[in-house]
Amino acid sequence: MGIRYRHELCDRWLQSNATVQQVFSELKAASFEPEFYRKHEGEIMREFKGKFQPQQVKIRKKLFGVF
Amino acid sequence: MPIIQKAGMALFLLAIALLTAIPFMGQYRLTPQMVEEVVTDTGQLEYVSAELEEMLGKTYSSKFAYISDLDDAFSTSATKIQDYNQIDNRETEVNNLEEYMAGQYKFYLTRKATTGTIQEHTGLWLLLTIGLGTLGAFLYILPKLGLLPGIKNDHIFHSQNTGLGWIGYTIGTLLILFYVLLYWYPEYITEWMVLTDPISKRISGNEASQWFFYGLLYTLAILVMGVRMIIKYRHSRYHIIRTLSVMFFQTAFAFMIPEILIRLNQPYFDFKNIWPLNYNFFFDYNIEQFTSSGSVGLFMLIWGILLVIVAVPLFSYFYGKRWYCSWVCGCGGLAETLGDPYRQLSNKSLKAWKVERWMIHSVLVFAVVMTAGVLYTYFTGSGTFLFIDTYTLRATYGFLIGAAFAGVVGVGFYPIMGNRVWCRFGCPLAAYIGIVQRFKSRFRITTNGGQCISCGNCSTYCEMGIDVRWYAQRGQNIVRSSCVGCGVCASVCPRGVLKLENGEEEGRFGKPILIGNNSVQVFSDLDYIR
Ligand code: SF4
Ligand code: SF4
Repeated sequence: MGIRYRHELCDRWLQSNATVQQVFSELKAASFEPEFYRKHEGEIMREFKGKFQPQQVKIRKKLFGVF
Repeated sequence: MPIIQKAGMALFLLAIALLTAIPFMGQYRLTPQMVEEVVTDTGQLEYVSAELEEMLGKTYSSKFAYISDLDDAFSTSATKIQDYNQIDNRETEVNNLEEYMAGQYKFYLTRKATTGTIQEHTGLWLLLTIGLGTLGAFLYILPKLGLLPGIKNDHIFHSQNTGLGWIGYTIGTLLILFYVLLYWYPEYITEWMVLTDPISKRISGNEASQWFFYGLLYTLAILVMGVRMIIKYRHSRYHIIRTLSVMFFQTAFAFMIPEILIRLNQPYFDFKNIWPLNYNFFFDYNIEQFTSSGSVGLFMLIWGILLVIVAVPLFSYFYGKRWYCSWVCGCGGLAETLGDPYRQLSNKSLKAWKVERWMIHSVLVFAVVMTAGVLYTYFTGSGTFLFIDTYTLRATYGFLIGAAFAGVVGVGFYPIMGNRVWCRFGCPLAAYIGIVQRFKSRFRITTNGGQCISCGNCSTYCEMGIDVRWYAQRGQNIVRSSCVGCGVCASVCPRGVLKLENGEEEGRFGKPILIGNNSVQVFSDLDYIR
């Protein structure tokens, strides 16, 4: 089973030569998984950090998960 | 088909055959006490008992003979009462035996007089019919757990059942017959009520009516077919949670709580049934019951009104129509569980969409006018509203919409026109929520760029007949008043193009743009020149 991402956002990343940091900071917003599905973004980021020790990745935390 | 599934199907069919045979197995014995209990008007009782004299103590083994004798007795009494009321210097007036009242009397006299093996061995028959049927159904459904999770709709249009074949038409005919008996000839199915007496007595303490029998069957259908639904879509958490929700609301809110309220001497009330679907909410007898049942009744009245004016707009704004239609509602619950095998039969044509919009909104107008008339009569005491007799108005609504459309057509046509015939063409509440969903809501189905391969699965399995593919191909959001948010279009899509979402209202309708990786672009004139 695959993971679904928003075509529009992926396209923008490619077009603008986005950095890994940028991609990661927007990764959650790019998810196109159906509602109630388990989300994998956290896991992906943890894995990536463990392997590559990248520079600080900042994720915009949502206030109450809404705003 | 594995042997266990075959056995399950055989048991299920046997149970259905037995259930069908039961109404022919009763015996009928009328006693004077029954007549006294049922015919409460003393004036009428005198005439009716005289005519029923011959039937008393006699054991009928044919329902038709019994009912025909009953009919004769009542029509003679009716004429005799009329004749008496013509006499000039009569001592007292006897209330005329109206047809409706006579029908009620005849029904209760049949219900009470029903005896025979069903009455004597109720438990055994209950096990042999409803028990065996449930067991058979589970034996048929559960082995499907052995298949890999995921959508499997192979040969769905080749099946005689789900592809408009003879099995489908037979099931449709039987369902229609069932509803006709249930609504208009309940005296012919009194044995079924006797059958469910033990359960009814345990819950509410009363004897079962036809509505209890129907409610029990309805709930069982949602529960058993709900298990099937969960197994079929077990790869999707959305469907699992949603199906559990309809199963819960049917069992607790529609079935158990009203019966328990009766046991506690409170008004019968389904807390999740909203006017105008619950079209008799504002009927005089209901309002009287609410206002005369202390604080509980008052709470019910206020609750019911708040549902209409606050809950519907609020929840529909945040979550769209689905919060009710495919998560809570009983009609929706049956459609999403029992009706799921037939969802592909909904008509997707433009014509059907046009008919749908005229029809459903006319029913909404009808419901509003009817209720306004009934309330007008309640408050002013005048029987006419806009030159129409309000009693006829509400009787017509009950007959045409409440019974014929919602029941007979709504469920009877599952195997012919899909599982949402009522929700799509007839439900006034769906029309109301649909208006909210169309104009003021955060709900939409988004399409993922240029991923659509035009396979058409989404349109095929949309039970509301929405041509989802048309939107997906253009990359446009699907915002339609009829969409019940069942999520099946998204589940059957092989490319994961569709997603049900609640989001900002801005940009909700979306522009029809194809987004491919530079495959299609919209150039302005300026771009060309450069
Ligand atoms: S458009 Fe999709 S979610 Fe809406 S009713 Fe049709 S299948 Fe269900
Ligand atoms: S099911 Fe998916 S791929 Fe097929 S037509 Fe619909 S949106 Fe396109």
